[in-house]
Amino acid sequence: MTSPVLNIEDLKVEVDTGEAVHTVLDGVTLRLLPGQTLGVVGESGCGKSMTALAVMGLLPDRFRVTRGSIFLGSEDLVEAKPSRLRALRGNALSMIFQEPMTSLNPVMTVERQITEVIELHQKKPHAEAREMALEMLRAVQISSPEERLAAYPHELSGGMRQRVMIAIALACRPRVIIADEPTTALDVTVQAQIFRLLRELRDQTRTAIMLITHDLGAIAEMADDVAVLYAGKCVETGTAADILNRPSHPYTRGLMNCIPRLQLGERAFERTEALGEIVGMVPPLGRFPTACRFSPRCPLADDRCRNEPPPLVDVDPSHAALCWKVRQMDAAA
Amino acid sequence: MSLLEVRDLTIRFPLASGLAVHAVDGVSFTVDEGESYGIVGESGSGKSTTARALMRLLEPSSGSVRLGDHILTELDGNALIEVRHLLQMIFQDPYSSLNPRLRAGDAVREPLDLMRLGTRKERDERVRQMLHAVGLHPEAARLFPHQFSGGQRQRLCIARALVTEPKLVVCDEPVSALDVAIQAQILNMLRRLQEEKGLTYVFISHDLAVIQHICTHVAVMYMGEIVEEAPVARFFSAASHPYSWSLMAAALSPQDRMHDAPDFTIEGEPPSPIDPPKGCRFAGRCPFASGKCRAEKPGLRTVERGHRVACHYAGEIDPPLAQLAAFERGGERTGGRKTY
Repeated sequence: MTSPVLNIEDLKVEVDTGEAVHTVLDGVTLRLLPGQTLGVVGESGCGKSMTALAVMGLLPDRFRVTRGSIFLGSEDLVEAKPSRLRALRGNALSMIFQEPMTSLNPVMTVERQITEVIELHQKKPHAEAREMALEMLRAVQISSPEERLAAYPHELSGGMRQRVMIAIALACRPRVIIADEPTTALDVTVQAQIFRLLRELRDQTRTAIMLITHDLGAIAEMADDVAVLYAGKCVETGTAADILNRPSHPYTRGLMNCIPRLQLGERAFERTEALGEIVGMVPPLGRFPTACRFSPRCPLADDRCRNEPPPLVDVDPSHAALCWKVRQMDAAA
Repeated sequence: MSLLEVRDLTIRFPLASGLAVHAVDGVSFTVDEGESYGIVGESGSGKSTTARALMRLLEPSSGSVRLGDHILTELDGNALIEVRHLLQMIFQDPYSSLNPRLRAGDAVREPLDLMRLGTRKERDERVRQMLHAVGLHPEAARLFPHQFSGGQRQRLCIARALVTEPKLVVCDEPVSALDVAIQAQILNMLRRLQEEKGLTYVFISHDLAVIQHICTHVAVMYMGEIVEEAPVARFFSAASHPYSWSLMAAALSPQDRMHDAPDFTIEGEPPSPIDPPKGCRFAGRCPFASGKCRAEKPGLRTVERGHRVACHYAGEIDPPLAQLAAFERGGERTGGRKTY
């Protein structure tokens, strides 16, 4: 079996607001294999982006890792010095952000933004870095790449900007890319193009991708494995097929039922059913329930769920859910 | 007679260079009372500009909008304010569409105050009813917008839009800014309110799955024009425009995408709206385009009762839709999706 390129083990992140210490992530364990995509899903406030920032060593002020480890190969990033993290970021570890407009520098040409990382990390002379930048633009399928090198971000369309972001992220052949909602700001037809591009590049370079998204459609397009986060806990993990076809945690089931499902052909004449709802909302930091965090919103919750932390139950060798009710749901199904 | 009739609506934004952005170009449609007319398209398609023109938040360059007996495009000043209670709008972003210094109850009451509808007591009673109808506690009336979540704010915006008992509600991407679980709550509520109150919607979205869930009719816009329009069942069983197919493929559910659903990813992005191509505006991205498409603009023609398509080859191309519709649940993804 291939060994994971990124191994997050029992990660706990806390924030000290000055008045109280709140838990943001609690015991998150994730593994990324080379050439594979791990989808991380959940609503806003569940800890998806905090997981990404913890890996990148970019947690905001007052947030810190208080337990666990993040191994990149054999190196624990939690213990790494800031200078070491700087050397890794953009190099072995890179990130694609949601908003290509705000994450590109508006006063720098595309050429400068791509060559910057190459010159910094690989110590290449500019002429060589420029050649590599050109090659990256070709790799992300930008038309007339020579002309685009001289362009500023405002001269590019949204899809093109995201392609440039991907070119920058891939420039140093990273072992891990963290993509935080990479297509949310794009039009649907352009999203499909970006997914296809990321899949192709991943297969060519064997880079591992951590795809952070609230969009289960993106998961279906991209992910091999999936982790579902809720209120700072990883509540279900499995292959994409496990999670999308046989979700075991009531939260995952709830999310799946919330999505309107297209009815085509003959089924277009049937009335669409009311959507499933998950009552209430994600609790704010500091108000996470102590036992099962999903219990206040869960249709199956009973006293045990509200009083005792749920166990991690193996549904399959590849599929686990943090829930008291997994067996009961299986029996019912 | 239809409730809403839009005739040849054209909106151009002139540029300093003497050219103009063609945001909406000759759009016509009608909506009957109790119907829900969905407009789907990508950014720049002109769907939101159309919505704003219906509300008279934008002045059309030409064309007319009639609501019931009122020609909205000919009204101004007080005459416009007098019909305002008949048409209301729900915006995409519930964070920027509520005044942060107005308590929720006052925000919901404000349209009644502005339009001088009812006595003070009646207005307060209406506000209480509306808060209840959108699932908010009466106590919520005393709170400020920042004390609500995104979903609750959108409920407030809906209460405020419905408080004047409008005939027509224009919803501009009302759930796009919300988390999926909250989206479902709001969509179910919009559907329930429509059924209870017999509302008529013009519903703007980029997501066809949402449109199918809410609407009775679908219009697809591309670069300022309607390229296809049909009743919802007809559209999802027999859409004929290649652009409609690409939107449909993009709206497939996660479960469906896990199986061997045919991929219909189109290349490129829409061309500049300043100098649109003279033939079919979609030709540059269309996998089926011919010389005729690039030279000659296809008109919107009726292919069946209520179903209009602007494509020279409508009905002649074998739609990938047949495959989209035919494939069954059950099989696992085997990879290698078909690309056009």
